[in-house]
Amino acid sequence: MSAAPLLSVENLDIAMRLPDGGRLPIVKDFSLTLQAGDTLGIVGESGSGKSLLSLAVMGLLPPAAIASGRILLEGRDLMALDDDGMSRVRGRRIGMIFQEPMTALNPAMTVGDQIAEGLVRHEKLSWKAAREAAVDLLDRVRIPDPRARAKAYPHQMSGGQRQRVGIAIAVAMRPALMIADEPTTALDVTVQAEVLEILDDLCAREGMALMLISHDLGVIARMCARTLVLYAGRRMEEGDTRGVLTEPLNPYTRGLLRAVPRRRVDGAPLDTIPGTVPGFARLPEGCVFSDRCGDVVAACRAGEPAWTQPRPNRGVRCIRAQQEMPA
Amino acid sequence: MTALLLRRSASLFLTLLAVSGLIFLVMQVLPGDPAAIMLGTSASPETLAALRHELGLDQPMLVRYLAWIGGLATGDLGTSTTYGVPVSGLIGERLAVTLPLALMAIGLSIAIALPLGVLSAARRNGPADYIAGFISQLFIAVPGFWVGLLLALVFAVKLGVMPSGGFPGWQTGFWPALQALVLPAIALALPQAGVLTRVTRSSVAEVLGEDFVRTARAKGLPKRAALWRHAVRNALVPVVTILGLQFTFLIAGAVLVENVFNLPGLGRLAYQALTQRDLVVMQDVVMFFAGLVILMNFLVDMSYLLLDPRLREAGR
Ligand SMILES: Nc1ncnc2c1ncn2[C@@H]1O[C@H](COP(=O)(O)OP(=O)(O)OP(=O)(O)O)[C@@H](O)[C@H]1O
Ligand code: SF4
Ligand SMILES: [Mg+2]
Repeated sequence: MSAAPLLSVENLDIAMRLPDGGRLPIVKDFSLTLQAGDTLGIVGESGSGKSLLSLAVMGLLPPAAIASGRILLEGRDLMALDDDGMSRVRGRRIGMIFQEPMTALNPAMTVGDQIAEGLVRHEKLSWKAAREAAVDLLDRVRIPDPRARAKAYPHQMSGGQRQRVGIAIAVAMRPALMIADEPTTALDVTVQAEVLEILDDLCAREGMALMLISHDLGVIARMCARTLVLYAGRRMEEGDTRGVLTEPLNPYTRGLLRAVPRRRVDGAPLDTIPGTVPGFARLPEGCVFSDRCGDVVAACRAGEPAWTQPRPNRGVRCIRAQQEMPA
Repeated sequence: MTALLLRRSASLFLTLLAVSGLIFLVMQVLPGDPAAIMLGTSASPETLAALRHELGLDQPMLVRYLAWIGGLATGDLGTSTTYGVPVSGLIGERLAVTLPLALMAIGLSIAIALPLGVLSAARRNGPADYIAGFISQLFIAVPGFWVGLLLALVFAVKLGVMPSGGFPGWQTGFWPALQALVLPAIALALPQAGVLTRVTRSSVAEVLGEDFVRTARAKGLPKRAALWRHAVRNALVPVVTILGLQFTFLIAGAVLVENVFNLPGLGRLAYQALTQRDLVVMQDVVMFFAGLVILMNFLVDMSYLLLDPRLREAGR
């Protein structure tokens, strides 16, 4: 197929404007390609820039953020669109689910109306028809008694139910791409699985591509065919999920994998990556992971390693990984 | 919801009762005997006693209090000692000036403050915000009656397009009567609009940072729609609260402005009653003002239920 990919992010940099007038770079040299129907997981620790990335794609970065690079949706440069143009993309072509179901819904509007609102604006439905569609959507995200629940306010629902409303809002206009930023982090473990299943099911049925953001490798392993590992705003590794999990190329990915809790017979303590994520103002010279990496060599500190693709559909940012690979 | 309404109504009634008792007591300790004031200093003790009996002033306090609130409930507010006419008619007549004046002032204040405050919040730290901030500071800093005098000077004395004071009465026609209220209403409204603009700005700015506004944007609402449908709607509770509080100041302001513009309103009636020691009118007018303030607070409370569905259950 010669058509443009669904989403293509090219050399995206995001910096934050500081109160003193300076700029603090957060995301650097970020690129990705997503085909229609693809499922990509982005994993990274708290503060690694996952939310900024997803907001950049939505064109909803905070005012203090400065982005450069290109974000193409079906070949169209989103960063060149004005707010009205971008408003026609949001919701219709890209839907987004947010992390906090407790605060992501308007407390003064019924959930039915919050789902219907986008349909009224973009699909020019009457409120009556849109409310009818909202009931249907509530049913599809498995809210029992959807007709009555459509008239409920968010505070009358549990966290899990609210997050399903969030999903219903995001899928209402059948976008081609769904971005879910830690959709289950704020939920109870029992509710998490159900919400993920609903999301998985809807994406498969609607043929939506999914960009799932999480700090939980387990969630991504379950939901996504491809995985991208983010550290301090840099892609560290990307590839098919099985490959990344079974044959990690970057030491940071290996550290993440060792830190994943699993059933253990020997009762051995869980490994953790030593140290903490350094602040963006105090990143080490060269490789951003060099101050915590167990495999660090002198060359790591000489300069930031480039992104390399050792195999088709596999990428890594690590000097050692490059050296160990046959040319 | 109904139970809540009933409970609030009951508490409204009790508050009114308590306030009436308080006002009655205060009037008792004020110096001056209405009968003596009516008759002047030369009256004989017999005529004085006869009038006191006629006015019911020789009755015990509790009886007089009950007679007064009984009258309030049935609309019989007694007779003015200076004008010799029923106070209810007097208040009704004056209300026809003060009520439109107050409504115009509130309406004007909202019409200025809401767009200005919302614009300020939406363009935070931009030029529009600074200009709006300057305007509202100016409104707050300059006293209303002084603005009134200035407006009268410019529009009435210099340009002659507006009456400088006085009130022709509604019977002379809607427009001339309304015109007489425009400058006083502006004088009353500006200081209030200044405060209300600041409150609106900070409240809207805060809500604009909430997650649900971002959700609204994410479903494709342009900035304007997210602002008005989601942010402003949720920012109204503090705005309405201040609006309710301002009502009290509006009444105080009406006393001043009605005197500056020579308008025969309730505020001037209160002032006249005070200077002429017309205790019957004073007691009734003060009670009427207190009732208005209490009713306004009740309405503000009720509006919270409209604005924030979470509170509807909280009170159940
Ligand atoms: N509005 C902002 N102003 C200033 N700095 C910000 C802002 N938003 C994010 N940042 C900075 O950007 C970095 C990345 O933030 P981001 O929210 O994208 O992280 P994240 O990976 O989503 O983390 P989490 O898992 O905690 O949600 C943070 O470390 C923070 O310092
Ligand atoms: S480049 Fe060096 S420091 Fe960075 S991850 Fe690879 S081995 Fe570790
Ligand atoms: Mg985040």
